[in-house]
Amino acid sequence: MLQFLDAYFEPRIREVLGLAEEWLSRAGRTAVEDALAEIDRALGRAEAELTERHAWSGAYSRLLTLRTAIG
Amino acid sequence: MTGDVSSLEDLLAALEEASAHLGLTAQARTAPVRSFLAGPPVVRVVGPPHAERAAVAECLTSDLPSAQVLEAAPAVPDPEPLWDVAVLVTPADRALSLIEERFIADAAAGHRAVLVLVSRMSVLGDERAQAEARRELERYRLGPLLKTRQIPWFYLDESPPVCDAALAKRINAVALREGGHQRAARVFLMRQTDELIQASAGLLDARRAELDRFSALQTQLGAQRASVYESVRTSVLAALDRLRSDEEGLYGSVDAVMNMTEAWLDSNGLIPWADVEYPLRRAQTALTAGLGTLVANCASTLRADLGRVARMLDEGLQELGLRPAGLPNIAVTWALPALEESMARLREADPSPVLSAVRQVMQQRLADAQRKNRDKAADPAKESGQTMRLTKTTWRSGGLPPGRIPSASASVTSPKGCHPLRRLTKRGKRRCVPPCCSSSTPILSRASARCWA
Repeated sequence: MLQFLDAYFEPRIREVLGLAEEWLSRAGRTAVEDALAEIDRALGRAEAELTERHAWSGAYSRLLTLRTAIG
Repeated sequence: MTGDVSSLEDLLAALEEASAHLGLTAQARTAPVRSFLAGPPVVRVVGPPHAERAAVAECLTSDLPSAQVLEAAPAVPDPEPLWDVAVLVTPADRALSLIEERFIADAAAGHRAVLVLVSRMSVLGDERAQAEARRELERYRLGPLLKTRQIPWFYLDESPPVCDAALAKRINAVALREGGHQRAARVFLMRQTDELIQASAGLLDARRAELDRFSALQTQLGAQRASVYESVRTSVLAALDRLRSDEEGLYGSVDAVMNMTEAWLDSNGLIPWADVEYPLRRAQTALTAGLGTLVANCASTLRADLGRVARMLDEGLQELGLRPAGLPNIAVTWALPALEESMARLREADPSPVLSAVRQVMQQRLADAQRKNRDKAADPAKESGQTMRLTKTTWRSGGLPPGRIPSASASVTSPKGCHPLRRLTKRGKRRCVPPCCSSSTPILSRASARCWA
């Protein structure tokens, strides 16, 4: 029976394990990185939106310059 | 703000632009300046009403027909700073009160044109007394406060009257020297700019708080990134461990099948054959089930972790009043066709042929044992009381494929009231060992359970 298992199951199990390890180490990691990159892009968009919202801070600097120019 | 902003028009445009960026309307602030710049010279007569302020204003209005003469009480800061020349009328008995002194200081600091008229000298007495009072005023009040600032002063009660064409001419000259309201407009604009800067300070605080919150969110998400990697790595290792464990279980099930064949022989074939096959079938089912969840479990873990991070991101963005990213159901690609095909091949692996072969051998063994028992029953003197023991040699010589051989031997004949499967304890005493008590044997079928009753 063990011979049967060795001959019949073992190669198939080894193949699955090898491919599973490959997937988990390569494809799985890529999937994680892709998903996290998506989150990073969303964070980047939010930062840009926040910067746009605070564009007036440049105007604040201009006011300070203006104050000096008037004086 | 770029380029030259030295001209008043440039300053006004820059102020309006900066105000618009701040979400504030600058028109209310710049309109008075534009009106002032387009108008005539403005003379502001400042002083308490009882200091003959109105009389002075009336006098100047008639003497300066081209100017706009306005009256006001002294105040700091000046609420109406758009004037070219200020004529401060101060009564001699209270010359240059504190507020008047501050008004003068403020005007001088802004390089504004100011003249001082001392009124009501007559309240100080006759001409001699007035002359004495004038000396004291100039020594203790007017001199120290006005001379250093180069502010001229006059006495309203002088004869001939000060408020005449000469004064008007002097005021006009000062106004013209101001060059088209430049000084007043700049002072006004500076004050407006200061107010805008002050108003912006609150906005700056809010901006700083928002940026701090966003920075905290970035830090939080950075930590979660590492957590996601660790979580997925752990689930991956667990999946591989399970697969290896199922593989070991598959090989280990052979021992259990061999034990069950002994039990099957000892029971004279009463135990259902499905029970004999059960350990291997169960191990294969576990392996197949493990394959089915191998990728799914890891994907589920990753989706859950990513969903948590995405929700954290959205909550943080909403707190900041930003649009949510909408990533809770983030898509993850898990496809690996080669793995799927390989798992399908493993699932399809069928041990039935080898189990059928084992069954045929066992059936042959059972038939042989039953035949020998019948022979012994026909000739009781022969081999009476002996037990037939199946040893490793018997297994091997029985035609089974070489492999693991059960270590325990079993008695074909069983003591009364006990299951045929018996094992020796360490002390050599016999005891009943139900197959279901062995970790390597399955729960017996109902028929087997009845056999144990």
